[in-house]
Amino acid sequence: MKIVLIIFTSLIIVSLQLTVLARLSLFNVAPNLILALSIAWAIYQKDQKHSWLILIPAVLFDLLIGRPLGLITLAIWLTFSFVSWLGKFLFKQSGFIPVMVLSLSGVVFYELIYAGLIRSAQFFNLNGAKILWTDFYLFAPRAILYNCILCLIAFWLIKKALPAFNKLK
Amino acid sequence: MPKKIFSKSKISFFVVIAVILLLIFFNFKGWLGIPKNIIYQASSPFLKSFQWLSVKTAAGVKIFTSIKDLMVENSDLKQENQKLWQENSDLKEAARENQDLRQRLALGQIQGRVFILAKIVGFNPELGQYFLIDKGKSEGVSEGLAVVTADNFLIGKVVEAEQHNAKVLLISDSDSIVNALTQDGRVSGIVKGTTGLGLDMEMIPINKEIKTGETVLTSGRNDNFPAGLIVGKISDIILKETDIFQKAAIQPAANFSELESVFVIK
Repeated sequence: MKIVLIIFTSLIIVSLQLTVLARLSLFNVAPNLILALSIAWAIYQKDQKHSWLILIPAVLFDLLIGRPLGLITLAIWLTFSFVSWLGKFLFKQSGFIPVMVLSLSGVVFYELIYAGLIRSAQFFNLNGAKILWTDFYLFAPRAILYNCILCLIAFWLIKKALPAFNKLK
Repeated sequence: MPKKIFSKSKISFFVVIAVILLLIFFNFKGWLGIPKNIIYQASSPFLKSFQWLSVKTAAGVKIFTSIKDLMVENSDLKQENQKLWQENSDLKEAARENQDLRQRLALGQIQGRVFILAKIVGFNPELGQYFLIDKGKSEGVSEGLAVVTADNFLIGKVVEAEQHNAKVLLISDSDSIVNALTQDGRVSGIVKGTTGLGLDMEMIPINKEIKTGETVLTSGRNDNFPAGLIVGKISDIILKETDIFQKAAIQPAANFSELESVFVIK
């Protein structure tokens, strides 16, 4: 039941990302719901048992529009692991400030790692998105701000929705 | 203590990395066609519903936030203007073509083209600008084909075609290159995507005259784009004395963020 619900929710998240959220782009930067959820999940989770669940929407998104395929998933997974690690070492208490700092760190990490992966893919001649550092410096601050806000909303949503989800068999 | 925490998740971390790398390799080999189609089929109802919803919502918000009558009038005038621009462009092209044909004293055969109507079901405006359209190989869409609006405004080209969907790279992407020429002066250059959804025409010989407001068309040389598609209008000319080429900023003919359906030219 849980896995069906997760796949169904993931399909909705991916569809939202490609349609509604793409239209909410400000100055050509769209909010990244998948990233926000993965960071929020990394901050919220108390154990590592279900960490792989975050890969489902990322893989689906990659299969639909990722070019080169796999880099979004890889960047999301590295970001998720980084935020989990940071949360365990640096922020043991949960409060608004630690959540905000973790969200910001996660989003910054994702922007850097994704840009780095795209550059590496270019180096290996994998067809797909290309990045110019001039564009990156222009868009990254906007993306960081936009996604950081979304992370906080996602964290609040997970906090509210997870107890109900855990009651399911 | 830190070592213990890291070692707990170390195996799963590397297993996931390995799986993702395997996924990249499978895709590189072209073995993910079936999963891609399954995912597309599964998400297609959501994509279409959300796309419809977002288009309607965007239109509703737009009307709500603007002065209603002026908005409608402006929209009508824009449509009319685009239509006239298109007609004007077609007439100019027809006249020029006619002139060429008369000069050669022979009638050239105009190549028949098939237009495949496709709906945009997804859009990724982030690094790498792609549309996801609902037509794929089974409907005759293949890689490299040009994608236009109903007004013949160039949008981009198909870069990946699956069985029932395809990815379209916008001409505004920094990876896109289109061979183009100005309509009046017939000056050649290449149109490239810039930051955001902008376009630049580069490699324009310094000794050639180009004018602001001049229409830029595809030249049809050395790429898959048919000649005569409208790319945009020259909005600014960037001329540096030290450069051997001049550059022009192009106002794209199509508004990429408001498109709902496109045509793939086969």
